[in-house]
Amino acid sequence: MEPRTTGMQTPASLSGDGDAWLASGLARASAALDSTAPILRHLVLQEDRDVFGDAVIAHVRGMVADVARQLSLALCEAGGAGEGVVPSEIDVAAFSALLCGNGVFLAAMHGQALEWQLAQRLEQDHGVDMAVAPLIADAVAAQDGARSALAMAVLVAQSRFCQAQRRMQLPLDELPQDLFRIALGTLQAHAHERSEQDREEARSRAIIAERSLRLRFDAERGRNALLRRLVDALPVPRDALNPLRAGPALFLTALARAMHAPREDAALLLAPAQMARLVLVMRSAGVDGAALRATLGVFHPETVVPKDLDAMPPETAAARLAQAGLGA
Amino acid sequence: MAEEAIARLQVAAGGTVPGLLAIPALLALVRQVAATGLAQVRPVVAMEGDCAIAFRAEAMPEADGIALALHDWRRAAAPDEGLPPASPQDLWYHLAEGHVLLDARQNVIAADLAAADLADLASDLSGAISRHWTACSALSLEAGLIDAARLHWRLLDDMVVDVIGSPRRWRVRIVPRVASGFDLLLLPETILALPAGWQASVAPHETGGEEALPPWTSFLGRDLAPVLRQPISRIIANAETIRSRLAGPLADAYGNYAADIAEAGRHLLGLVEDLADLDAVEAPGFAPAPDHIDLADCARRAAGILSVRARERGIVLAVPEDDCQAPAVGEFRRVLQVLLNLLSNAIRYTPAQATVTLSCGVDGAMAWVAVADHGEGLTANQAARVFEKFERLGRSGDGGSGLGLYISRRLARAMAGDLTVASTPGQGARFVLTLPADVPSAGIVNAR
Repeated sequence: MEPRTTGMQTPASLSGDGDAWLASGLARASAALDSTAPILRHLVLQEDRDVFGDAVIAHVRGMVADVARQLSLALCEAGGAGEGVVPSEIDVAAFSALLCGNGVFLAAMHGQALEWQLAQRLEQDHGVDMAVAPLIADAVAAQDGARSALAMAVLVAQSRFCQAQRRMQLPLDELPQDLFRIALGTLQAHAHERSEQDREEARSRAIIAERSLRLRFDAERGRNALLRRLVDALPVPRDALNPLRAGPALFLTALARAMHAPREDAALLLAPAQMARLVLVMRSAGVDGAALRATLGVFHPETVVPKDLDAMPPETAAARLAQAGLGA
Repeated sequence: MAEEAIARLQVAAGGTVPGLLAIPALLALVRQVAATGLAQVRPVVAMEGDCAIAFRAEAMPEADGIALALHDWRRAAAPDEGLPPASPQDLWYHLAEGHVLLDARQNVIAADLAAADLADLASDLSGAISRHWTACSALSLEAGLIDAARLHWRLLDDMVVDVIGSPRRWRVRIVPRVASGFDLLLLPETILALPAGWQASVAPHETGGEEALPPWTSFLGRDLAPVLRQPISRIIANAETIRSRLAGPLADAYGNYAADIAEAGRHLLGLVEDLADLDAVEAPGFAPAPDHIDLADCARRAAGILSVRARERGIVLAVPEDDCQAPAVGEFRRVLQVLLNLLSNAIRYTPAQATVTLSCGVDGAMAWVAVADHGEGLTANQAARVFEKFERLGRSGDGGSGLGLYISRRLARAMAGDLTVASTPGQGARFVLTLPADVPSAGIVNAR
């Protein structure tokens, strides 16, 4: 008689390929099971409705897909395809997955979606023009020629950004340098995912695509770089911390500068859960009580800030942030 | 104390005048301003009966109380009405291929023109910064508008203009921005796929007329057909889903509408395919790839493909016997296309319960395959016209484009053969496709 196997034995191992396939599949299954409960709880309770709202998530998806589409298009063109070629949906999906796999990139897209939400909110509720904010208009009209030219460049970039955001698009050459580098990195990663015999050709196409995209890119011309330069060029950079005067774009840049963090962190700082931190960041940047209250009234109209915070010196505010592990 | 509108709202919300504020959001605002002593502005939505009112409430502390000022009073969508209806402006922003930022006096601040054929206008606008947009010479505006600087923006909105350098016409939409100034949007008024590699330098005004453009069919065939195929297929597929009630039960009338939609979609798709073929066969370098084929085999395959449609109409398809062969030289795919066209015509125009006969053979240097039906037949006059482009012989509403036979004959002739018709009125038509015989293996093998 043949020996009978009992239930708890280690299963006989398959060939290398089959084993790896099963292992990765099971790991994914287990991760999916683990994350079900927290995701569901989050969706049902909607703790941060604005930060993870349907519109924001759809916007993130749209922008990631747009970047993925441009990368696929660059690959098609590197393969000699002419104008008007439509990249394959499979390639676009693969690039989307690669881009979402990068935490930095995804966070930046989220920040961008939150910025768009902020721009719409300021325009609808407070009548702040999302492209021609008062502070930018003043800078354009300023006697200082360099500042006026810079403000004009910001205005053009911002108006183009708004038009692209309405269409949930994000042109590759508008990306900040680090995100652009991440996007280019996915070209090689994508080539690596191809089967053995296609890989060499895919790699050389990726290199051609990367080179032609790099040629079109100019980091200094990007909107974020222009915004940073304009905040520095303002007579009183702190003015840009007033959202109703500075408009969404300049305000977020100034806020990111005040907290010494990337812009997407500044966008998250406006969520209800972050209110205390927002107050401390503004105080540490030297914003006085009345201005602080005005800003808070924009984002959290129901809240009453304790009066004694007005007297808190900027250094104390910064120290308090650092103490909570939230400082720069 | 309250003005009339706010007093009415107060009463509608169940309060009295004078009395405690009955609108909860306003009450909260006033209490907060009282607590902090600081003025505040807040957007508020309140219900007056069934009607939602939206406004901006400004609360200012005063010596003996708090003054409330309400701005931007307007009717809002009720909170449970779901999403607000999309405004047409959103659509304009999505469709616009040019976007110009104007200040309050309609002077140009900045321009962003995406379309390649707007390049002339883009360079013109960059020189027109701080001037009225109508001063742009690349916009061919009527002479009466030269003094447009004094015109109200509403009088300039929704105007159709020509732009120098662009073969398209453009609609100008002017949208006021929230604080001051305007967005000027350029929406293409002409639907036209730009040929690949379009350069502004070949614009009609420079080369002296329409001749510079390829004929319209090539736009349709080469550029439009690939774009149309997918959406039309989706329309058909969705209509079929509705018709077959896959998504749930449905009244019969709606099922029939869905069937009509699917049918019209198929007609449109057929037209698109025909136009794509027309473009291919009329292209100067068109040459089918010749191959060794058997016309009897082609005939049997074509009959197999259309057997269901024939059965639905009660038509019998008689095909060549299995041992019959007619070797020829031609491109298999194209020969099958010609036969499918002939056969579907025959099925369409033959009365029900009749027979359509497919026969083939080799006659000297030429092999032939014939499709004979028992329809009304054609008069000599009709037979002479039937292969002409867009010829419908007075028929309409049956799903034909009038291109099928024209394309078929072009294909036959491109393969060094021909497509002819022999017909007697009342006795049906017999279409014969001849192709060069595959000579080494040719014999006289006639069937049927």
